[in-house]
Amino acid sequence: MSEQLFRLLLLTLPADLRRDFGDDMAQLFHDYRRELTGRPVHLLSLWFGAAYDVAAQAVAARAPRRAARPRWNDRETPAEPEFARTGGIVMRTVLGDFRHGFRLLRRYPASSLLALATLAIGIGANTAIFSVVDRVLLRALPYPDPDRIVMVWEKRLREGVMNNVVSPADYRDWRARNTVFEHMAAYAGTSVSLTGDGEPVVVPGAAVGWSFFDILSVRPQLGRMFQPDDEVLGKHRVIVMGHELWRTRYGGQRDIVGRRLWLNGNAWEVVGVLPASFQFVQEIDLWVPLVFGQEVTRVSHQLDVYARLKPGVSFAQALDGMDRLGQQLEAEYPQENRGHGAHVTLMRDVYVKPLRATLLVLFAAVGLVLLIACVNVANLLLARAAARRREMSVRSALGASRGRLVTQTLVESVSLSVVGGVAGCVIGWVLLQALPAVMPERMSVVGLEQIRLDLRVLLFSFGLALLTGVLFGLLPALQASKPDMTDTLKQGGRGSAGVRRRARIALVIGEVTLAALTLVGAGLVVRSFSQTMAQPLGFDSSQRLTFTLSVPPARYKTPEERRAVLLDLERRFAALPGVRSVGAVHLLPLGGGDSRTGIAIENRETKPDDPPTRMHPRIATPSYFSTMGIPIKQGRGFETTDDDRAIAVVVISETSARRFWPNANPIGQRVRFGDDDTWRTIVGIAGDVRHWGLRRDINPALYWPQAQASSSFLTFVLQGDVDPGSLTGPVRLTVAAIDPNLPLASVRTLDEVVAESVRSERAQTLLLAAFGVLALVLAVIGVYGVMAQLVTTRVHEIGVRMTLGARPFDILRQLMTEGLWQALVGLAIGLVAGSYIMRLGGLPEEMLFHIQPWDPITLTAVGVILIVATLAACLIPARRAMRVEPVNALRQS
Amino acid sequence: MNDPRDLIPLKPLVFQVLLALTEGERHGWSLVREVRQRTGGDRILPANFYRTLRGMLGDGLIEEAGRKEDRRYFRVTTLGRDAARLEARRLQELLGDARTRRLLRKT
Repeated sequence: MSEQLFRLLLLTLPADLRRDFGDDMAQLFHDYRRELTGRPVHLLSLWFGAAYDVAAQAVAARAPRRAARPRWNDRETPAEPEFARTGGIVMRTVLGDFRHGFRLLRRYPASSLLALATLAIGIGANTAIFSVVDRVLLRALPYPDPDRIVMVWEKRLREGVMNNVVSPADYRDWRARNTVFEHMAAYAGTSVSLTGDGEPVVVPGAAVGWSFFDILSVRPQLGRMFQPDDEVLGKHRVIVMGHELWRTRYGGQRDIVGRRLWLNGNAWEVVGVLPASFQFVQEIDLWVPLVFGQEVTRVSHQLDVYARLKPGVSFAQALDGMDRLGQQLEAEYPQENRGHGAHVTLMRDVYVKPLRATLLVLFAAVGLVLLIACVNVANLLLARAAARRREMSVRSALGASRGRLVTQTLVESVSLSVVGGVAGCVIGWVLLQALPAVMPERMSVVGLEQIRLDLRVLLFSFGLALLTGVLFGLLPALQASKPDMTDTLKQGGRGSAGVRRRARIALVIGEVTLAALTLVGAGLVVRSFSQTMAQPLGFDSSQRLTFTLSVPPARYKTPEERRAVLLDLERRFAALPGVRSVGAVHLLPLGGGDSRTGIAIENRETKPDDPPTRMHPRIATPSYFSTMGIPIKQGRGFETTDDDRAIAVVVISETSARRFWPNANPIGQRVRFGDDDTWRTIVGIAGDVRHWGLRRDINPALYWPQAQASSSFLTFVLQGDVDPGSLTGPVRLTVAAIDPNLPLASVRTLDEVVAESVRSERAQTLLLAAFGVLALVLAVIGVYGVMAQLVTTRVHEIGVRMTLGARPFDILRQLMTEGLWQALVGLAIGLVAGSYIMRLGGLPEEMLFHIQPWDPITLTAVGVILIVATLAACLIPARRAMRVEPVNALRQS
Repeated sequence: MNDPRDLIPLKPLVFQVLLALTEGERHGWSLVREVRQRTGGDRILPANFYRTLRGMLGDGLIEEAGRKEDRRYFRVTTLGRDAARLEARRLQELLGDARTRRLLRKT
């Protein structure tokens, strides 16, 4: 990558030099880079050096050599080069200006480096974020004709839900009866135990309708994809394997097609392998056909449905067609489908929309940082113009035209931008390597892994850099070019730079405003995150290890067998040294899995139009509540005696109790699952648990005992007296002792589960906070630069005042007050604008959690930070002013 | 054939490259390393370095010695050797001059 960047630089060299030696130069650069691997500072200096070197040589190789200074290789140059006669004079002048510009950069190294660094950081961050925005928002999903791929949902207008997962019966009817789709296929994610060849593992799998890959237009790398026959019960044991599993577990052998694998205890045949380029929302290793028996349920909802529009059918027509089909089904099944319709969305909207807000906020933040960087550069250019008024006056007096002076100043600022742009590209590339870790999940389908700095993005950055140079070079250029000669010469360049000073004060104010805006945004997000982390989980996550075990129904045929082996395992885990307590549940909080079911309450009349009673069932063992630290608020938890011979019992959560028994005591009441006729008695109320995430609403939950259910998988929680990670080994041994073919999945501490659930929020917060700090630092640099310059130009005035009796402290106070005023004005504008923008929705709701856009704590903190930082930035130049020797100051003029 | 006297004085980098090549054929990176080691100087950056080499090739001070492992090798020509000798003598005389004026202590 950096090789290419360097070669891009070489494009500035004359073609013949590049043709003869371009490869050698790139090779030499590569050698240097290899030598400096792992030394980032040296590497950066190499880049700066190389950029300067190439630019200088580009100029030198083109510039006609001066006849007056013969060099060792000069003799063949004609005295008057041809191109000088044919208008080349302009070129030569501009090239000379470039050389002058680079020399100036070197003459003021500190201020130049500051400006370059700010420009490079601004452009770099912008390039990186723009690359992501470009890939995610401006381009489509990684499938052909992505705008023809849709998802079909169940809509429930009365509950305000537009995208509910679909019941198998509805899916079957939709697929058979719709007229708008070329293909329709459901998707159901699952975990698969893969045994019989090597270590038993649980891999992510998915069951899909046979035409699933036709919808996404994927061709197999080996073998075939699914066909209609594969959905026939009995012929359905076929696998399409993901590329990654094929490569890692089976060494990429081509004879994998036709081989038999043991999935969940049954033999399945591999029929195809997916290409490496295929990406999906989740990484799936094993794809199998989705098969239904004779009885297809309309009550349980679990499927994601994908479809491809028929050629000639528009999205609106599809929406309309499915809406009508939904109404037909509601009429045909008034019981099960009451209030259920069908809804269609673009697949792209489902996956890209949630990212859009985050990306745009990042883009805005980074745009603000770039603006501040530009203001800094503008400041530098203005300051330099001020310092060089005398030079300009002299040149003007000697006969330089106005256009000539403007060109020179402009060329100088453009050369600054060019070097800054190059450095910015390098920084952008580095940032891009770090970005994927920071983005929200579900990014793989939108291709974040494939983001590279491409040529367009590079051009965008360079354009930005050049624009900055031209824009902020022009103002001082125009100013510098009409110096009042006599005045300036007379005053020794001090000048009554009233206009310019006002312009620069305006820049400082603008800078503080921009920094305040960025900080308000960043501050709100940071506060939101700390609010999030302060949310009660409802359970204790420390000192606990969790892992999932599934017992394949193929080998443990009856529910009793499965129950017995899981119970046996729980007992053995409890006996391990260092284990204080063991419990198990089939869906762990924050684990990503959930289920929801309709509930009937005994002796409660429901009118047909009432919203249905729905709860989220969890299968748990008796010791689950105590192991997790979930309190039983009322009644009791489960006992070991609550088995299949005892009466059926359940425990509900506080939210369930509040929502469905608002004015009554639920204990002793009986409930029934929608598709089941056993009445179950409520025996207790457990504390609420955040199941979906710290920022999500708490759903009404319902627990029923494992001994009365038959889950074939459970997630165990081990509370340890020791470091929970150290329990992993003994746990594996225990499992292997009972059945070496039982794979252990998702082995993590509960703390890790919690951290993982807020990973993307944490990363976004960090990124925005980093941009906030960056904005602050750049603004402080800017303020410092202006104040320092102010002191320099006012040495004379200060000298006079001190001679007239002003004390150093008075000088300090005056300068600090001036700085403070500028900061206060900028701050006021920034805070007002910031809270106004936030109120208008400048930050998307999902980034603000339990916090108002005008959160007083954030606004106060931003104010204090900015004032302190500005004062600190003023202090250094002000102290220098205090130490001005009046005699010297006066003598200087 | 050029007269080496026309080429004197040599640019320091040209002189150093010629010195490094008197020990045998070298490629770019090896030259750069050798010169830096000898002079303890700054990095010799690619564009400047190869533009200098192009000048030297054009003047006949050095010539190409073929490619090995995808790297271009260079060797010094007779003219180059003569020029380096002349330059060394010139520098020596300069030094002698400086010594007579007691800028440097005689060793």
